[in-house]
Amino acid sequence: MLLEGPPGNGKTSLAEAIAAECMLPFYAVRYEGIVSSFLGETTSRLDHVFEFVRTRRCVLFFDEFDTIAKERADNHETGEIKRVVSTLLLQIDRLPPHVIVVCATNHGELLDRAAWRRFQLRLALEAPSRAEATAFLESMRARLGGDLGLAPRTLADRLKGASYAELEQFAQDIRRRYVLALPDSDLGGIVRTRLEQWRSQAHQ
Amino acid sequence: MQAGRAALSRTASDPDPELVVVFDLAGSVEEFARAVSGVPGLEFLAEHEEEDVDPDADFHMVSKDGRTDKAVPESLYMIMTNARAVTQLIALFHRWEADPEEKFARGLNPLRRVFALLREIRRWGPEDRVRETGLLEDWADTLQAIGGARSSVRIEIELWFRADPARRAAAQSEVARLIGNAGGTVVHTSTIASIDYHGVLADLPHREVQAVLTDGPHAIELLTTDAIMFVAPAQPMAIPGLELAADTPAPAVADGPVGDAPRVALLDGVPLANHSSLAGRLVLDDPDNIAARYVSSQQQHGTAMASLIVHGDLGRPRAPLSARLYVRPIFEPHPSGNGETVIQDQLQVDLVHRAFHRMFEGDGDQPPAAPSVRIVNLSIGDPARVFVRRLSPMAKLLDWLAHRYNLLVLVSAGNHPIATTVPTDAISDPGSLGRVLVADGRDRALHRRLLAPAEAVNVVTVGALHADAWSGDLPDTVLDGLEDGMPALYSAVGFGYRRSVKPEVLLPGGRSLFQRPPAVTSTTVPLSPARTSARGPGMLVAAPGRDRDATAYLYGTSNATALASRSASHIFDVLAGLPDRAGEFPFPDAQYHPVLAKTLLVHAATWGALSTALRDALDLETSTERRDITQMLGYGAVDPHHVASASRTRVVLLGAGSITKDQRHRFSFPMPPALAATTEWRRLTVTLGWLSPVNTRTQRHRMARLFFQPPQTELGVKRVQAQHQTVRKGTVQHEVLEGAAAVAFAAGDALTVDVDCRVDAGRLDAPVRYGLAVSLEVAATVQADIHAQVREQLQARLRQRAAAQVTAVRG
Repeated sequence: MLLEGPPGNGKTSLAEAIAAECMLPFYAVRYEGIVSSFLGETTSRLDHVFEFVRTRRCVLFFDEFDTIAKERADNHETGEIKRVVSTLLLQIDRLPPHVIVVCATNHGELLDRAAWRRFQLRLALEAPSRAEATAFLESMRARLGGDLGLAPRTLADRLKGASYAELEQFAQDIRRRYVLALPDSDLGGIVRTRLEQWRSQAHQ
Repeated sequence: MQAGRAALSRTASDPDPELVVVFDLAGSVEEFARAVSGVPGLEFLAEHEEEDVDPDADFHMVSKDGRTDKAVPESLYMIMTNARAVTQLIALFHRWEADPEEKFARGLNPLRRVFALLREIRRWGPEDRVRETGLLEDWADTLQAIGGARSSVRIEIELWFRADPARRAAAQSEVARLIGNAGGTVVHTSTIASIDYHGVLADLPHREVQAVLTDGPHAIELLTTDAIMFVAPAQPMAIPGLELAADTPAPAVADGPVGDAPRVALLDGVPLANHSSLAGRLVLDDPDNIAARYVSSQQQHGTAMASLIVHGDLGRPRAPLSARLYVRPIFEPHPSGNGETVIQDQLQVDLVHRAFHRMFEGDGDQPPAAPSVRIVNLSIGDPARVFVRRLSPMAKLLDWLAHRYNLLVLVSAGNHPIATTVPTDAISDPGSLGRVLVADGRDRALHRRLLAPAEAVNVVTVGALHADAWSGDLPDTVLDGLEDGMPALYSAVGFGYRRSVKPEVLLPGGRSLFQRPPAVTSTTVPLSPARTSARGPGMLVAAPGRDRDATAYLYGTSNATALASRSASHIFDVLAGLPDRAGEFPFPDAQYHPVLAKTLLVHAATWGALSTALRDALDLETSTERRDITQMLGYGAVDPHHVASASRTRVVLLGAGSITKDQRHRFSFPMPPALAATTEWRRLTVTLGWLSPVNTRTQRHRMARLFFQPPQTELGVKRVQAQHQTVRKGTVQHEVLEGAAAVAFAAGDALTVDVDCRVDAGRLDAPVRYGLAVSLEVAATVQADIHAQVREQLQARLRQRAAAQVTAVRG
C-alpha cells in the first residue's frame, strides 16, 4: 500500500491504525539504522529487515519511502543507490502475503516507476478542503471542550492550506493559551495574534 | 550430640550461621526421614519433614532438552542450638567417611544409618546462598541477552538476622566493605525486626557476575561471607507500556455518594486522578512525591487498576465502589521510558512495609493515613523470583502485616509469557487448539509457577480467567486459543508454600489472543501474542490519552486481583448492612469482617465446568486427578452470583470467632426438613478462613493451623473438588461436597462443623480470628423454601439456648 500526500495529513496514523485493527505488530523501518555510507552494507541491512519480517504476520512501514526508493535514473546518485532500490523492490516482491507493506511518501513524483507499479493500493491523503477543515475544527472544538474564538468555518478560511496536523495544533494552542491566561483570558485577542503569527510563518 | 538436641530454633535464640547444618542427601527425603526417626535427638527432623514429603514430588532435574526422571539432589537445613554440637556432628560424619566400620560412642551409633544416606554434612556455604533464589539463572539469562552491556547488576542480599543491633551493624558493615572491595556500591539497607529481615540492596560490577558464572559461587568473596543468608537478583517487576489507546470512550459513571473513609488500598502506579471515571473517587497519598517522576502518558497501570477496582470492567461497568479508593504509589516510570516498574532504588520489602506503616500507624508524629482500610490490593509479581520452595521476604512481610493489622490482602498470582509452539494441525480446529494449549500449559507448569510474593500464606492469591466483557468480531489475523472462562494461559499456577492451594481463586483477567501464524509447511508452528490493547478483547480500563475519558484493553492477573478486591469490598458492604433481628443470632462483629470477607470470597469459588474441560483436554491419572486439577484451578472460579448471597434453594450460614491452641468451637447447621429421606441433589460447601500469626524463624511459618472435618454421611454427600490433604495447608479450607443419597433425620437434627485449632510453630500470643461459611444448596426441583426452613429452625434453637454464634444471611 502506498500512501502519498503532503505531511501532516495522516499517513503514519493510517498505517498504525491498520496494524491496530488487524492486531498485528507494527514495524517502522528506521533509515538511520539502515543507510550506511559503506558500500554494500545498506543492501545487507535491508536483507536483514526483510528476513526478520517475512517469518511473521505484521505491518511493515516505510516512512519517507522516497529516501530509499528514488528514481533510478537520477543522475546524481552513485551505483550504490541503484543496487539498494533493486534489492528493496525485489524483497517487497518476495514478501509472503501475510506481511502488509505500507509505504508513505511526500514526494510521489520522486519514486522509481518500477517501485510505484508494485503497490496494489495507492492512496492520496490530501490536505483538507475547506469543508473538511471546518468539520475537523468542529470536532476539535467538541473534544477540547471549549470555544476556539472564531466559528470553525471562519477559522478554516483563515487557515487555508493548513494540514490536519496544523489545524489540530492551532486549536490546541488556542485552548492552551486561553486556559493558562485564566481568569482574565481574552479569547478573541489570542486568536488574532495566533492567526497573524500563522500567516507570517506561512509566508516565509 | 545430647547438648544439641531440640533444634529448629523453636527458642528465641539467634539463628547464627555457625548453628546451621546442611545435610546433602544422596537419596530421597522419605528415606532420610525414615532413618532419622530412629535417632535420639534427630526425630524432630523426621517429624518436621513428614508433611512435605510427597510421593510424586514435582521437583525434577531439568536438563537442557527438557525434563528427566532423576530426582533433584535434596539438601535439608537445620538450625541447632549449640555450636559445639554442630562441630561434633560434622566431625563425626568425616570420621565415618574415613572409616565406616569405626564404632562411635554409646548412643551415637544409630547415626551411622543416617550417614549412609548422605553425601555430605557441612556448614552453610556459597551454593546455599544462591540456591533457589533465581540468581544464577537470572545472571545467565542477562549475560546471554545483553552480554556485558550493563556495567553492573543489582542484587538483594538477605543477612542472617541478629537480634542484637551491634552485631547487626557489624555484619552489615562487613558486607558493605566486601561490596566496596569488589568495586560495587550499597544502594539501600533495611531492617524489619518483626519478620527477622535484614536486607542490603547493592550493585555488583559485571566482572563479579562473570566470575560466578564461570567458576561457581565460590569465586567471589561476597558469596563466601558468613553473615549472608541469601543473595537474590533484584529486578523489580516491569510493566510494559500500553502500545495504543482504544477508541472506545469510558462510559459515563453515575454520580453517587462516595464514602470518605477508604476501605480498599491500592499499592500501584500513580493513577490519573482526574480521569473521567476516577475523579472524586480516589485518595492519592504520595509522600515520596513519585508523581513528579511521571508524565501523564506514563500513568497507565495505576489508572487501569483504580478503574477496575472502582467500576469493574468498563466494558460492563457495575455499581462504583462505595467509598474512595486509597492509592499509594510504589511504581515509577521505567528508566527506558516505556512502561513502569516498582521503585528501583529501594528494597521492595522496605517500601511496602513503610506504605503499610503509614496507613495504620502513621509516619513520625502523624496520625495513621488510612486506618479505615481493610483490603489491600497488590500486584507486584516479580518475574526474577519464581516461587520454588522458600518464602520470599516480601511474602513473609505480607503474612505478618495481614495478621498484625487484621487485613484482607489480595495478591496477583503473576503473569507469564504466553508465546509457545503448537502442532500446525491444531491451528485450523478451534476445539483442538484449546485442548493443545491447555495441555501445553500443564506441561509448562514448572515454568509457570507463582511469582513472589504470591506464595504468602495469609493473603488470597488471585489467578486469571480467559474472560472479559468484550464482544465483537475478531479479524482473521488473530486466534482466540481458549474457550471463554478457561484459566488464562498467562496466569501463574500452584502449588503454594508447603503444597498449599494457590492461587486460591480465579477471576476474569481479560482474554489474550495469538497472531494467526502464517501458513507453514513444518509440523509445528510458533504462536506469539497479538496486540489487543487498541480494540480488544481484554478488560476495558481507564488509560491516559488524548481525552479525559480515554481507555485501553488490558489482560493480566492484576486485573483479576482488582476485581477480587472489588468483590471483597462488596462483601464488606453486605456484612456491614446485615441487620440484627430480634429473636435471631447476632451477626459477627466488625473485627471479624476481614476474615469473613476472605472466607466468603473463597466460598463463592467452584471448579464448575472447568474441571470437566481440563479432564477433557488432559490425560489425567485417576489417582492424582484431583490433585492435578487443584494445581491448575486452586479452589476454582469465583461465581459472582454466589458472592455473599442466598436464595430459596441456597442457604448460607456465617460464623466467626477467636480460637486458641487445642480449642474446638462447634457450629451446628439445622437440616431443612425438605431434605429428609429424599434423593434430591444437594451440595454442601464449607469454608474456613483465618489470618494466622507467622513465625518467620521456622520453616513451618504458619503458626495457627485451623481445620474442620466436613459432615458427609449425615447429609449423604461426598467430597468432589480440591484434594482434602491440600486444602488444609493454607489459611483457607474450602470443601465442596455433593450427593443425592437419601438420609433419614428427625426434625431439629443439625449438621455439626467443629473448628479445631493446633499450633504448629511457637506459641500464640492471642486467639486467632476466623470466619466460617457453610452453605447448602438444593436442586431447583425442591419445592420447599429451604432458606425459610433453616431460618425457622435457627430461631427455634435460639429460643432454646443462646450459645453458638451462627446466623443466617438473607441475600
